[in-house]
Amino acid sequence: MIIAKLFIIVIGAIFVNNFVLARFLGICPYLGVSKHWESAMGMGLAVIFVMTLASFITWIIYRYVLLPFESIGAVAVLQTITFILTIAALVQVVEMIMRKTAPALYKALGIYLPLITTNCAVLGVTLLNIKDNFNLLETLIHGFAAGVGFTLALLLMAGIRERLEFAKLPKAAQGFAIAFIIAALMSLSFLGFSGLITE
Amino acid sequence: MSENIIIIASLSLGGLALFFGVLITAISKKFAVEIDPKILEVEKALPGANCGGCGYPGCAGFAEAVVLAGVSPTLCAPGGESSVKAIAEILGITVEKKEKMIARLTCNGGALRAKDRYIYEGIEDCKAVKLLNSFKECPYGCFGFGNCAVVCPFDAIYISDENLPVIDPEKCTACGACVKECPQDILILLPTAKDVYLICNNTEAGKFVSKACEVGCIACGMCVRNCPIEGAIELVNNLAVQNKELCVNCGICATVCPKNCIQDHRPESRGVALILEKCIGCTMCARKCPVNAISGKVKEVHKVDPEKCIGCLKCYDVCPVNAINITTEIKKIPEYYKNNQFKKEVKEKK
Repeated sequence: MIIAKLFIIVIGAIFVNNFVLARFLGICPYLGVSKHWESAMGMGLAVIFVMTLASFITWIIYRYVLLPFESIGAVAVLQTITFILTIAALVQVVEMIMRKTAPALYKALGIYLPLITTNCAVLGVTLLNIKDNFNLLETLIHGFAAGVGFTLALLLMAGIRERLEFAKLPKAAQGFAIAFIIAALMSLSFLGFSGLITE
Repeated sequence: MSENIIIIASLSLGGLALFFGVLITAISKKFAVEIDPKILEVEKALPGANCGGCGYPGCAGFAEAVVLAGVSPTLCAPGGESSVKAIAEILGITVEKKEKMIARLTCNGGALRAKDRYIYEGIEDCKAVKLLNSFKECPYGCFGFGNCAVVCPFDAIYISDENLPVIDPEKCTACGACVKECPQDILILLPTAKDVYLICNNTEAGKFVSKACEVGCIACGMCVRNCPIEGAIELVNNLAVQNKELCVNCGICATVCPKNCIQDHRPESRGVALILEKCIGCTMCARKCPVNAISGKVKEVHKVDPEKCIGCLKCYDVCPVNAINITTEIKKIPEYYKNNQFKKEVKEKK
């Protein structure tokens, strides 16, 4: 039963409610870092890492800092801003530790980390964890799967855009113009997954 | 109740912020990574405009590339000589001097001189116009919606009343942003010393060009016939194209052009040179003169042959004591060159 629920969470976060293509979160890195396959991969891995970690930490903070004050409405007031603060600080800390202890990993992921400190996809996943009443394990799985879903969308986009480099486009359609059109088409195609999970 | 929320909110949030602040400070101290101080110094020496003209992500990225990968600091156009010098000093290297460049517009057919084919009422954006057929009779001309002015990171371009971009030579740093932006490819980078250049791109036959634009190159060949140096300007694809190596910027082509489509940035000051008594005989002018019109011995007053002088101002620019006066204007090629004497001389030398 637990496994079935976790499976549904994973499929839901990757395909049905894909963070980029169905929830429209994290569009900024989705368009900004999808020009090359390698950088898209680096960004995707960084997002998976940060989303999982952020889900974990924010869940702890929600459970042990915000929830005790719920009787006076602290959750409603403080949830969003606390999570933003937590994620930003967390990414900073991770970035600094990574830079010192794992320079190779920092080279691969490090330059993308500052880009996602205040990313809405990361904030979105932490808020959804709370909204859906996930326990700690489900939160971790959801965070990870959301990151995987983001990476999938990013890699698909990067693959298409790399091929587009060779396409003959009018100058006005080059770059972001065609990227937006492709993003819309990809989003439409992901709409096909929408009936996959029935509650 | 409501005060409680405020107090608890500020306390818990403040507490968290304090916790994270202390955590980040502690970690940044503990895990501090030493960065090459040269990178920071080089970054300081750069203009900090983050224009991306060098091809690196911002000035910080370029500084890193200069220090670690040994990329030439001359790639930074906005910094110019001063920043190159500063960087060379920091790194202890010698850098070859790079010619100062500037962006130039090679179209003069503004709203007044180039005819419209139809009234364009679409989006006011050059790239949008480019998708359609040009609304001007001339398909090579400037649309004048000022995409170049928008992308210029240094505010060096504005659009004149004639719907043509005007480039401020003081502000332009030749970063190339406008050159990349222009859908018509009529903005180019030229050395600042290149005063005389063609400002038309229409490769159609003269008949069509003169119908479309008052100032289009009709390939009449006046410039070619009047050029004192053979091969310095030639007709290619119905355009008068200068040869970069041979052209000496004398500006005679600009004076004779019936369509005024050769730009000369110093037209008022051109004329036959005359050397005054102040001349100290350094021979600089004689060496610079492209047509050997100056003669004289070392430490003696030099003389200009007014029959030969083409008014290129090379001697005037180079004279260390300002002993050169510019006199009568040159309206056409000096008689001396009519029999192609000089043309042959130059050719044999080559």
